[in-house]
Amino acid sequence: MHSMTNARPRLTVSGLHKQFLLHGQGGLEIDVMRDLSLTLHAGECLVLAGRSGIGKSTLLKMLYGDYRIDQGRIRLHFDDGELDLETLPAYAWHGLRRDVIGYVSQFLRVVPRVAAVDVVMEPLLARGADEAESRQRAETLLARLNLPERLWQLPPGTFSGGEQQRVNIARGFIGEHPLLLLDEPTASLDAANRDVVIALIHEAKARGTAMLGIFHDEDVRERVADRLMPLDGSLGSPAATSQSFRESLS
Amino acid sequence: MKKPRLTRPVLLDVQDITRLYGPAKGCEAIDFRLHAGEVLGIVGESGSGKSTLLRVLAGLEAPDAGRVVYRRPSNEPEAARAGEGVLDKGELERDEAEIDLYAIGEARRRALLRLEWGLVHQNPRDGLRMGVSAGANIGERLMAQGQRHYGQLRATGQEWMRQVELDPGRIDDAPRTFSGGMQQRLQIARTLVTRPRLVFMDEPTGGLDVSVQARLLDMLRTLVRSLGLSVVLVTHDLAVARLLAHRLMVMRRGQVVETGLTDQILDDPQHEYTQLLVSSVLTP
Repeated sequence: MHSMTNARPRLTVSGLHKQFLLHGQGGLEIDVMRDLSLTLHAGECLVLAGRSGIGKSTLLKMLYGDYRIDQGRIRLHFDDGELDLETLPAYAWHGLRRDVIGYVSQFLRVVPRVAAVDVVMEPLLARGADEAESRQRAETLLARLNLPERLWQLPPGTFSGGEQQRVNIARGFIGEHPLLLLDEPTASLDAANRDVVIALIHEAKARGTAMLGIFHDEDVRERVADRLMPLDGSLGSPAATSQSFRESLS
Repeated sequence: MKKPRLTRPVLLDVQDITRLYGPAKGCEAIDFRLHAGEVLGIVGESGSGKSTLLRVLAGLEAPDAGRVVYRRPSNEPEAARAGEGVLDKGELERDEAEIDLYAIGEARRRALLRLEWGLVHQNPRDGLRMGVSAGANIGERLMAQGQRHYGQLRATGQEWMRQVELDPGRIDDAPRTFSGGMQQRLQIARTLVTRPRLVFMDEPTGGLDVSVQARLLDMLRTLVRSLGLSVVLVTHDLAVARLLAHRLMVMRRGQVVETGLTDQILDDPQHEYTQLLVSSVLTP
């Protein structure tokens, strides 16, 4: 293993707080994150650990711009300078997501009636890549993830959970973003496909991708994690957990 | 790894626009900037003032106060962008960098709408000429730009019908013989054929069946990406906003109550009204 202590970090998070204020519930305040700090290097996979239900996804959502950053700093490091996400204007985020930060979420959100292969290749087309080449790469990934070829031209809306997840994984990995956020990417996969995802993660590491992940499965965690980041102290709330705004309302 | 270039030039600079028909009717003190390549969604319930705002932005209705400034990209070779044909810019001066929409005369404003902007109406009948053929509808804006070659106009018409998934064999049919979804796609072809830099859309999927909506949404996403369009989109449908818009402005009673990245507005809304709006959506 190469020395990570000498390498410059790709991402530093410091003093991050997150609170939800629910107006519809009489101004209920829910503290979901307190003083969270971490450092992530290129080629490293840091796994977020902690009790289930304490809101580990919250951190990934803040890094991806789904949740606002109320307090604290998220800084990306490049060869020629830094970028602070808490002050990044809203219009700049889609470029950042296109080129720098990738996200494999638990659930697939797509336009209905768009074919699986088109869903997978979209991140490449967004960068202006050649269509035939993008399609080829999408098909290679779907084949690797054992998605039957007869499904490639069908919209994933009616697929099983495991099939949708593989479409989602292919879409997340195809762009080879330098920073990749993984939210339970192996949750509904069988052993063979879990192995494929683990191989994809190892290949991404070798490319220098920095990864931050949540893995429910202990075996997967041990095989991909370079470090574990315990979060029980900085996440969770006595009042409620907060997976999303909508869930926190119910 | 190099730092990504995330700054984009401002295309539309909207400064403190007010247009009121009565107390809280219309829009008030609207101030924002649209950047090149951005899709900005304006969401809110009916009566929130979003359609009034769109009419002011699109040059159709003068505001009581404020300015709409269009900053034209300067370093693009004009002919290359427009594709074939030579633009007859007439009323518009080629090198003008900033255009104050309501400081210029009516004729120049109309020329701008025809030459560099586009507007997609909710009801395709408002954007199409129902009595002339599909091909003539698509060709009209090109002819307004000075293209006269019949064969070329027809070929472009057929190409655009294919692009919006209409049968090019129906180029001589009048739009009134088309279904609602087909009419909407024809309107989009008619608007985008001149490669506008800035497109305004008012509930573009509004009057359509759900199954037709999905296809149109996918088409719009593809066109926005492949043509590099900048779009101001008005919709009451948060699901449509999620799929098309990069950024959202939430309006209520004529005012903007919250702005931000689309996912932030929908997943982490701050304002009381936005929280109510987001939590009121039915999810099947």
